[in-house]
Amino acid sequence: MMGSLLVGLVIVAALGLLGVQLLRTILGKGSWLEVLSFAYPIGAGVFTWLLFLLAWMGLRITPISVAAAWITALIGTTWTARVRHGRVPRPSGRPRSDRRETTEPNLPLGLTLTLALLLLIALALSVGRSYAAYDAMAGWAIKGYAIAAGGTVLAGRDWGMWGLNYPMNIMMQVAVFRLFGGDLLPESKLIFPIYLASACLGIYLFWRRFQVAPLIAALGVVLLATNPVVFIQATNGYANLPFAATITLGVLTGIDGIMKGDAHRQMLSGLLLGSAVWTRPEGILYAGLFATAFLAISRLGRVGTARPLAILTPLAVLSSPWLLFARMHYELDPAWIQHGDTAGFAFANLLEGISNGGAQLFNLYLIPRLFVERAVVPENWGAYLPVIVSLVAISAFLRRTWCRGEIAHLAAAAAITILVPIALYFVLSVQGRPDFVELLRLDFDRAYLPAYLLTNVLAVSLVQPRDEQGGPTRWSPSRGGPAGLRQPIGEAGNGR
Amino acid sequence: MDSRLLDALRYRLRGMRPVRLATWILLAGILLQTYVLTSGYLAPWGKRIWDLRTRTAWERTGLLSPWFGEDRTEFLGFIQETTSINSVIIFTNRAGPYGWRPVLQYFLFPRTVVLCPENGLNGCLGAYPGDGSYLVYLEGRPLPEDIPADAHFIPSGAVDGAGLYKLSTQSDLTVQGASPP
Repeated sequence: MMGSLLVGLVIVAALGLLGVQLLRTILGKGSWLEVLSFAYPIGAGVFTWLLFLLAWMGLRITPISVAAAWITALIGTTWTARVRHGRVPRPSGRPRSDRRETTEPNLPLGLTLTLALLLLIALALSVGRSYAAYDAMAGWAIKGYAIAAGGTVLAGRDWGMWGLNYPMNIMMQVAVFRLFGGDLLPESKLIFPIYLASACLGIYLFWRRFQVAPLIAALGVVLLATNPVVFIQATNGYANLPFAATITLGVLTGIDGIMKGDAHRQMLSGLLLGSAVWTRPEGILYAGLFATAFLAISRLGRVGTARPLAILTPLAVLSSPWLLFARMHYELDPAWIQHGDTAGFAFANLLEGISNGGAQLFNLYLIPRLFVERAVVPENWGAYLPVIVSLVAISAFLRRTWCRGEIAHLAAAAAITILVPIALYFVLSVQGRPDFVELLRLDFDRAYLPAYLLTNVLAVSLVQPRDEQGGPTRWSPSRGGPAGLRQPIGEAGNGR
Repeated sequence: MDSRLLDALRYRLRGMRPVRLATWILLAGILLQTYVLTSGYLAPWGKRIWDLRTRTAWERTGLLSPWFGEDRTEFLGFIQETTSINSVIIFTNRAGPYGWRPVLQYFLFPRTVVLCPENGLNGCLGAYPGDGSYLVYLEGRPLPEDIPADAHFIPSGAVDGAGLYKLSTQSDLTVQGASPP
């Protein structure tokens, strides 16, 4: 048992380390909080993508080949990061430690301890529950085991659900755990709470960068993590939370990069959005809409500076091999079409339903109504709706809070995450399934996770304290906040 | 809303420090969620997991899933113990967990799991001859007349009357009608 746990932790650390080097390559230098937040989603996403490409080209997936691929990737990223480090001059005249204190957000001790406790509980529950949820065992786990046993990404065709129609980020991660430790605990379930922790840290960092008060930011993060739906999704082995976490990190990094005109951060955003496409099939829909919205707001609304190539290049690089593979191996199973399990099937449903006259606009009302019915019950979504509504109401009494540039981007992203699942379920409703309402009650919550995260980010960002001049309030230790924020965080240390 | 009323509200809220109000709202939300999460998920699931802490990963999957429970998990354990990893396990198609091939694949990995229709079982079995093939007998199905006569029955200790029929290369699929257990 302890041996399996140790192997699992080593794999998490190894994938995280690759993420650290990738971050150093892209950003030059990031804060430790940034590294902690992005390292695992980036490292795991890029490594499984690389492994997928190699396996597709004929490499047999074995412990030796996986280890060799990891070592090669690590050497490559370390070397690139070194070259990049060499090109970025360190600011002179100020000791490094002093710079760190004044420009990087702190993680308050209370928040650190609370998040650590929540993460530990989530890790124990996640591993303890094993793969007891349907999709977890029939989708992600079994396909990972089959890939590990067969040594090929094509093994997923005959094992588990969906054939080869689903992206393989999570499956490949499970395969790596299986290869090295046998997944006896199962230690592969360590990864799901880690995505939640990554999202929480990334959101906290975003809030602090955009000068949300430390206490509000800390409470907001704890509120996110203690939400019942979110916590359950972080422990049940479904891919929805890793997807929501990755896409949220991608959106927030993108907004940060656009607001500061930082091409490197926008590139990181594209990489994260690409990892999300590589995690769930609807990812391409979200990523495409986010990229379009950001570029449109930036260009037409003159809010920030978007670099289309910086966002779209990594997004395309990570997405296109998978989309090509999916197209080549796409299998039309009548049962899957009926269930509308993927965006492709959903589109097929829509066309068929429209041609049969099955589209009912009433469902556009039914879907959000049923969600709200569930969301007002604390056992489902905790305090989500009351808190969001209250914070937005409070923001109406704060000066110029809606005028800020990042809010325009955030509002657009949040709207996209609300509308996409509604649209997808509307498409599904076109088939006229008799159990549609039951399906909505069972499944809509997890489809709503990206919206949950981003609406929370938006609502908390709206209650940013401002001084009389309309600028951000400066928090001092005597008022309960660190003395930092003398200059916008993130301006330094990102290689510009 | 009347603009004067709005101004008054704004003034009041400013006096209350909206950010402080937001802090209290967030705190109240956290307290509510912590209670709901602890009572509804952490405590009950924590206890269930703690009770099963000595079980293997796949056993916990079965025992904690809403569809399997003790009997089904033990029966799948019996199949695992009885058959080699190269075996072919043949289930007759039915509603419920024993008809969910992806799930059965998880529990019996890396064995090959086959779902055969009850009508035409003979033809389906013909595709999997050999010493490594087993026909699952559960809940009185498949019917005795559909079972190869020379198939050897291995009873399960977990579920009364259930077990595995071991098919052999000598199984003559034209002669059906094994004695039910």
